[in-house]
Amino acid sequence: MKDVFTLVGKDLKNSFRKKFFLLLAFLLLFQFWFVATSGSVEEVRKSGEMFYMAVVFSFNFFGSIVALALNYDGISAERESKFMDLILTSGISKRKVYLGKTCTGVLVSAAFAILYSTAIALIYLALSGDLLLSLQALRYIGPIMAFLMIFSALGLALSVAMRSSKASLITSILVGAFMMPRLFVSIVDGVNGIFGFGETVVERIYMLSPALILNALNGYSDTKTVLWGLLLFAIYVIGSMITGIRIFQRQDELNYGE
Amino acid sequence: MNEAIAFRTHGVSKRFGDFCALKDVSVTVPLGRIYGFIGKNGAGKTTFMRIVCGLMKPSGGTFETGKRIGFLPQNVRFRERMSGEDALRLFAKLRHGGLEESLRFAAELELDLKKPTDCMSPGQQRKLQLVIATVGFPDVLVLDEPTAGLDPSGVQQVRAIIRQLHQRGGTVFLSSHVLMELENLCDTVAVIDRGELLYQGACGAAYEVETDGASEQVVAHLNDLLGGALTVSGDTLLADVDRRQVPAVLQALYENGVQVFGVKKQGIESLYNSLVREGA
Repeated sequence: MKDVFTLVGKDLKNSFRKKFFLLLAFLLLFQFWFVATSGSVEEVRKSGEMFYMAVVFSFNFFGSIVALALNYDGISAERESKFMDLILTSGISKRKVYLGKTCTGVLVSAAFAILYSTAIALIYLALSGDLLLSLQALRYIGPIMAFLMIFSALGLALSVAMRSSKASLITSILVGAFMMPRLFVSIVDGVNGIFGFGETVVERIYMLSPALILNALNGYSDTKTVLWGLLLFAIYVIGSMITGIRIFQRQDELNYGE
Repeated sequence: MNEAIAFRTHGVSKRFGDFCALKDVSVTVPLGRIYGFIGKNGAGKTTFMRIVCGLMKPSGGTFETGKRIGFLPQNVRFRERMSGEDALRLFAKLRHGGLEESLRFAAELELDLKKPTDCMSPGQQRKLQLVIATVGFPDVLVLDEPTAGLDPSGVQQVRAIIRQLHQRGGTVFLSSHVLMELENLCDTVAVIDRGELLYQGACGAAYEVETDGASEQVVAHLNDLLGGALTVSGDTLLADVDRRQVPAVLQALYENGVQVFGVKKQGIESLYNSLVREGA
């Protein structure tokens, strides 16, 4: 495990770079624009609760793409720069490398969720002056972290499977767009129109979109929905991790120079 | 005499789809040697090195070693945000030791370890990568074009480090396009072309005899006498014989009416040219 911690330390230093803060600022600005133009401060004040859209509206549109942009080149960048060769010939197994990247993904997701939720709380505090109400935004740290972890795991698996960062970026954008709730829901509705799955099944299929898992986990849904959300979250994260490790272990470290 | 082995491959092959990058390559690298690996671009050198370092699985054949192998790949780029010293500390942690010696090597190579790796010049980066490859004293060091991108003094410094590692009993397996460099450094070489091993042995063991042209019958006759040690390359005869046999070869040539204008030990360039030209 000591080797994994060493790798996590290295990866964390590289994670908190310009890209991380630009993406965070982008989502915050989009959310701020929504809060300022939709009258959601007034709505939150009236209802006395920080509802889903008041905090994570921006995630519905750009969350998936932003989250994948954070993670699309986790393995491929080190492969392309041959830094991976130096690590792998240091007696470090691919499993350890992947585990290190996954742990880094968890920590980066946590940091992103904490910074985002805190910034939203501060925005509401500045606009409403109500501290207790604003603090409710921090309740979203867990669901946002889960959302980001899903894409962190997916991004890492894509980064392994696609090999090159360019291919991984293009695939991530496509996957991210597909996972956007509005597009995903309309696709599911279209398919349901043809096959007629029934309302309950369709509701469950909707939840394959991680933004809807985020919604399910926000604590306002019924217990059954929260459990479904947790189950799908676990399937996404563990499934991506197992797939990613298996692909990684079966791949040769190809020589890009030839 | 049984010589200790650094690593050995037997019939190693590697296919990428229909393309065969390596065909039945068997190489034995004795411990404590500087072993050169020569071939054109795309000949299969890097693929072979990556198999030796465990970064690639061979499609066929076996590889055996009981030694720890350090690797310096081609074209490594530092994208990580870390100083040279951070990089050495990272690899010393991963390899459980060897930091002090690496810092000393880095000082010998005049590396500014405080500088971020991505701000170093390509030559400085290459030197740092070489030091990283040596962290933790691997028994065998596999170096893919170690002096590529270095200025003349950098090349000399790297050569000195390689010799130093060798003197300490380390085995170095290196590829280079600079044949003179291999001739200066290596005691044994292997030549590979289009994935096939054409030669492995002492670096320039044969003698080149410049003649006025020996007929095939004369060469065949001399080969009968000398046990098949002569090959023809234009007006030059290649005599793969011991130094003490050279006078006998010259005598035999003289007796068969072949004029000799000069004799010299075969250089690595001539060895490479004769092998690759024949193989082309």
